[in-house]
Amino acid sequence: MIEALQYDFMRHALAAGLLASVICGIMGTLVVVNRIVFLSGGIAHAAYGGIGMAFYFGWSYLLGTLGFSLAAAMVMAAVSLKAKHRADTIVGVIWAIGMALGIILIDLTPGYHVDLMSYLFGSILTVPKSDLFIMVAIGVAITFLVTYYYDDLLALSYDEEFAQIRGVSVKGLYFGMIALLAVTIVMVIQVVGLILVIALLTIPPFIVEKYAKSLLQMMVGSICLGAVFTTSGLWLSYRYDISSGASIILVAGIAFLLSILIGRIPWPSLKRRGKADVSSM
Amino acid sequence: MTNAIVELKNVSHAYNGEVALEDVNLDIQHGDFIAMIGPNGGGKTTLLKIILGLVSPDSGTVRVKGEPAHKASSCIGYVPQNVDINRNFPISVLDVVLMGKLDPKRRWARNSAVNRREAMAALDRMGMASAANKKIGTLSGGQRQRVFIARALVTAPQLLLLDEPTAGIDTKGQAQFYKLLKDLNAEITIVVVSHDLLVISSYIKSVACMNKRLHYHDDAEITQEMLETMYCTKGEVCPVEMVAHGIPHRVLHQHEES
Repeated sequence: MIEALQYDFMRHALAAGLLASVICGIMGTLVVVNRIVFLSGGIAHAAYGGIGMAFYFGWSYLLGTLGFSLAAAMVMAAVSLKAKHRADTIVGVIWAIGMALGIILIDLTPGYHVDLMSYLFGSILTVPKSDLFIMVAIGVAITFLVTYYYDDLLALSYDEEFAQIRGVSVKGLYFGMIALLAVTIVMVIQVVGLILVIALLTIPPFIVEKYAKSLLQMMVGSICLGAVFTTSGLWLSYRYDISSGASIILVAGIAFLLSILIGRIPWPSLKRRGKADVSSM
Repeated sequence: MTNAIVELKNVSHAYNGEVALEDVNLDIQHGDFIAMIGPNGGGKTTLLKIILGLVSPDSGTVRVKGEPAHKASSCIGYVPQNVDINRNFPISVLDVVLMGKLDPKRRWARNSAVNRREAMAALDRMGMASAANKKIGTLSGGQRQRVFIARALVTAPQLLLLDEPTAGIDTKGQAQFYKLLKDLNAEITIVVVSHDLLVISSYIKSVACMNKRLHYHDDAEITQEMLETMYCTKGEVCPVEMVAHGIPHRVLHQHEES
């Protein structure tokens, strides 16, 4: 790994991976506890429609993608607030339409065609420095906002009704959280690709959730796990000359399976300790 | 000027055309201790949510302390019916109770040491202080219920609404629990939704029977007639244990076989 870091592109890739871990660790925790993994997938896929529009109408990439994703995300947020039990269907529809729209618009655009694969898996090895600065800015903004609204987000995520009774403007906060999520997803997709974003949003928080006693612990734990996954994935991809994005995801996936297996083993010593705890109460 | 903390006038509400509340009128007086009884689907939870401002009724007016319900909700303590929500959520018992101290208007003026002390005191009152640092999901249903009540108490409410609070608590615990509510009633107005007719009648001051319409009875007596109008449609009647004024006379209503 040390020798690999003498290359600029590896240093940038590592920085991008670590920044993505931080951003996804924080937002992913909120995604997992609010059970909006599917909605995040919807935003990420619908973003492709924005990419298509940006190309077809000649808008700037960022403006088109961010605008379209934010609009799609707000529709999904409104539906999931209004009709919870119907939300997954609507999200699925927007997900599909967004992707189809993107593909057709790119077909219709003369000349240069973006590669769908680079959108799916990103190109962490060719991240330019400017993108790293954008990620730092997003990371700082997210950390600040989530810290500022931490108690409100905690109440919203745990018990929405109670949050409302305590005077939290639940709707505003929910829309804000989804908007922040849309911005996160669009910006991080550009760097590491759609699949890696979903993996980093869901896998580390899921593994950590069982052991964490607070949202903060879950966020910090997810960031650390994400950092381990991206670093070891990058090393594997360098060592064996395989795709970097896919390597990171597979490392995370194996950890995910291991955590489930470990959770299922009936540890005798742990059980006994648990029982003693109960009887001492 | 009335002494009512909550005033409901001609309140009606329907979910997707299904009537839940019909022309409900109720003034909850300061210091009252109301048991709300009635069959499932009788609109009890809906009425609580309307008082809390979580649901706005289709018609009628709701005033809490003379203000629209959603503005006054912070003076109400609420213990929801379902305490099984989000059992895997990474949150400690103490943090659940501290949620009761949430005040978005005073973000920078919080005193976390005082809040913690008050939260611990509320947990102690519910006999749950020793579990403060446990994860909420590791508790039993009855223990979780006590934590949620502690969360409601720590909001220093003037009105306490409890939706079937003893569902997960054993009989001995129930009696202790209602005794605690009776103590709290010295300062706090209480409305409790309950099916524990046996236990409850020796603690409460009045009864509200809820079956889409609401009938308010200004004493603690739960009569045969009330039960019939509330629970019974002839032909599918179950024996109901009744206690009036704490005198244990049991009246078993006959099953009417067709």
